[in-house]
Amino acid sequence: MSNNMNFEQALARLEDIVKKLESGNVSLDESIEIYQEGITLSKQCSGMLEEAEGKVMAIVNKEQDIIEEFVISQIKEA
Amino acid sequence: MSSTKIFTVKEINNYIKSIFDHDVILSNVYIKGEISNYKLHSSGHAYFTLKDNDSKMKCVMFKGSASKLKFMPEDGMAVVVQGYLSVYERDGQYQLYAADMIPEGVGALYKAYEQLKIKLAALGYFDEANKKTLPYLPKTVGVITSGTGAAVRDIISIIRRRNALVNIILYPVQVQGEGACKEIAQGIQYFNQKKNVDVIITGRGGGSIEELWAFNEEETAHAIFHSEIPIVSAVGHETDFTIADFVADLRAATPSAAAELVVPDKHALAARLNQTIYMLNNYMNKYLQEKRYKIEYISKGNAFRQIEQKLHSLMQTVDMCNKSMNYSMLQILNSHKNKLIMNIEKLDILNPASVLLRGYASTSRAGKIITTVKQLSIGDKIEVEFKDGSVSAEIKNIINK
Repeated sequence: MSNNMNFEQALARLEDIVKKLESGNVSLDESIEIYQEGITLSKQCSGMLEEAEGKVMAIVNKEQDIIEEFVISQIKEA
Repeated sequence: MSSTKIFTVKEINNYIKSIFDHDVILSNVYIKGEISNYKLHSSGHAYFTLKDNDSKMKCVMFKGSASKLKFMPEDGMAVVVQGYLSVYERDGQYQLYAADMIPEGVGALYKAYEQLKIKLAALGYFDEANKKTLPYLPKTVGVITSGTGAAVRDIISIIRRRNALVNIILYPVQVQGEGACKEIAQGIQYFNQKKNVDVIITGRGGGSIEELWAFNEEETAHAIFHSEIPIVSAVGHETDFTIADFVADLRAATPSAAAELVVPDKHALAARLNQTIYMLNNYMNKYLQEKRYKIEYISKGNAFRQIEQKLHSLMQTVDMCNKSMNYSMLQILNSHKNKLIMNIEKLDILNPASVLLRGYASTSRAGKIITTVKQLSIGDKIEVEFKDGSVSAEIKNIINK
């Protein structure tokens, strides 16, 4: 289920878990269960922050929908 | 003549002024014409004449209004002046007191702008309820702007600097001139069809109202309003407000500001994540520590001590039982052993052999022990057994007692 979460959702869930643990208002079983979930989420979040570098693309031909890498140094003052 | 009231000049000028001042039309008019004789006085007030082919009118624009003009009025310029007409009593001259002035071409644009703003507001295009929330961390940002110039460079370089994980897809468009609004709308539709971006930035750098016009057109507004992908508008400078800004889910003051609003700083994200992970571990440890203390507390408590004491006393009882059992067992064994010894002794005493040892002899006839003389008759053959052998004998005499 948590595999479909984006960074924001995963981080929000993680913060929820922290809040729950902080309150101490959980059973030992549940605390261990959500702690493990929290560890999984934190790994996911860290992973998302370490993903491969993003790309800068530009649509160079709208009719044929051709997308090419775009280099910022290409930009000249209009 | 005597019945006629005679007025002073001042009184008449005053009267005319009051007529002007109470007139609904004259109190707020838009008048178009050409500027001539423009003079900006050192006081900051501007004096000029507004004229057309057939007529002219004196105008004054006071410093407060003149300093707010976005352009420099010049002689020969076609303008629309907004203001009120009144009378300068000293000279007996009416004049236009100008509050605002715009170049005539631009005047039409302002009018169109205001009209479209009212129309779209009525259609709910600007309602907060229709605004979409921006993704916290977009994977891909769509950028609809000119492929050349400062805006696209600012947007891309700021996104890259803040968070190099984010993909950018540029949809290059003309941002001004004929067909610009159509291209912008197509860009929005393109991203909505492809669904390949999480948020869109559309905008351009600063410029005159004509240059920003593509962002004031209904086609652009329509495309922004119907986009399923959140859109951030970034048109011109801080002070420029376009229709696109009102329709967009978020207005950024400049293209650079849009990039900052759309993409969170990676270091800030990592810091927030690390803080959260730290708290996760910290609270879990604290939680477990609390449970441990609780266990310790309970185990030191009365209930546990009583059980412990009970256990100890039971252990002692078991020990005692063990000891006494062993003792009893030994006693039983000893008594049996004694009995056995006694019996063995008795047996010894009863053993005929032992009688013989003490000097007695045993008499038998044909293997049968003789215990009384009555068993014997004279002439009987008997065996007499001693401790070290036996003899055969014959009865010669019997004496009864």
